[in-house]
Amino acid sequence: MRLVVRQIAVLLAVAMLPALAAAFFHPKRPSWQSDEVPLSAVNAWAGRVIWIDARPAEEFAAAHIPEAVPLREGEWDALLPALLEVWEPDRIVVVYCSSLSCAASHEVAARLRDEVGLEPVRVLQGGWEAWRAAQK
Amino acid sequence: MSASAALQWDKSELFIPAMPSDGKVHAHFAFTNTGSYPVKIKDLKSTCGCTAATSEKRVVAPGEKGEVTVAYKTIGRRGLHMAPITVRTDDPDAPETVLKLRVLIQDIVELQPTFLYWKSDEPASPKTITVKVTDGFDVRQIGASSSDPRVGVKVQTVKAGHEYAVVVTPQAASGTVKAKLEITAQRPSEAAKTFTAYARVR
Repeated sequence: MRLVVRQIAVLLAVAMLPALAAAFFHPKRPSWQSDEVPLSAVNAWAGRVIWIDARPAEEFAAAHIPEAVPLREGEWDALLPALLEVWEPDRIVVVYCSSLSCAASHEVAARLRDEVGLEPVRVLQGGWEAWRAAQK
Repeated sequence: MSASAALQWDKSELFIPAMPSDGKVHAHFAFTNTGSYPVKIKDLKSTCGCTAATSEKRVVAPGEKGEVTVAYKTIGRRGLHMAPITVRTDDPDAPETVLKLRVLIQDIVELQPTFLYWKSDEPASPKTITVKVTDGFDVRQIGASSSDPRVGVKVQTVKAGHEYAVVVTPQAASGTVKAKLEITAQRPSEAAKTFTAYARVR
């Protein structure tokens, strides 16, 4: 019985090695840390934030966080230069979209990190609705 | 998904590979009403303006088949995208069903990063944009040019047909230098495709 248990333990340990290696080194490993931040944290970064609005164009036109830069995946090449114009290495990029099940902010944030190479990039928890509620 | 639901889906998750230049790709979620009563599809909701879901049948009789067609816009997009579609019906056993569409959007090459930056106190050392050829595409040549002669570009072959390096070297200069870099990928018998990256020196 002890021999069987030991053999199982050895097999598990051997299997863990490539799994751990993949977890650390695989380029497409999932991020274990959420990129979302609450508005309270963003407010503490006052003066250093670049707001990115990932909502549809008509929603941005209707209202947006002051000085926010629009960036939507469908118009990436056209809109990215405006962000790069204002970006500085000491500023923090915070992306938002509508909180109503909108994945766009995460997708835009991931692309800014992975493709453009910007850091840090965060996503506003609760999105546009959270910011609007805080203004009341 | 409820086993007693009248609408039974052939597949509730679909995966589509696509390219940005496709413009739009379509997925078809087929279903059958295996119940004894008609089911009304009340609503089809997606979470993204890039996705549109439609169904020709709004009321599905017992035994009838149908499908929900999802159109997904690929222009400007890259990477793996999840597009859930919520199907709301009047079936009390399955008032809501979530269909999952995964779309992997890849271009013929992928550039990384697409923005290079040198701070004012940073030496004007070369930095590299990696150009990786997507599996299945036959890219034979990579070219590069810079909109500003103060930012030089040079292409190096890492592995022919698979990976290239665009080495970007700014000249030491006072003041800000901004350059738009155009990187072209050439396939046999096809027009070259141009990709854009940016360089900035403070």
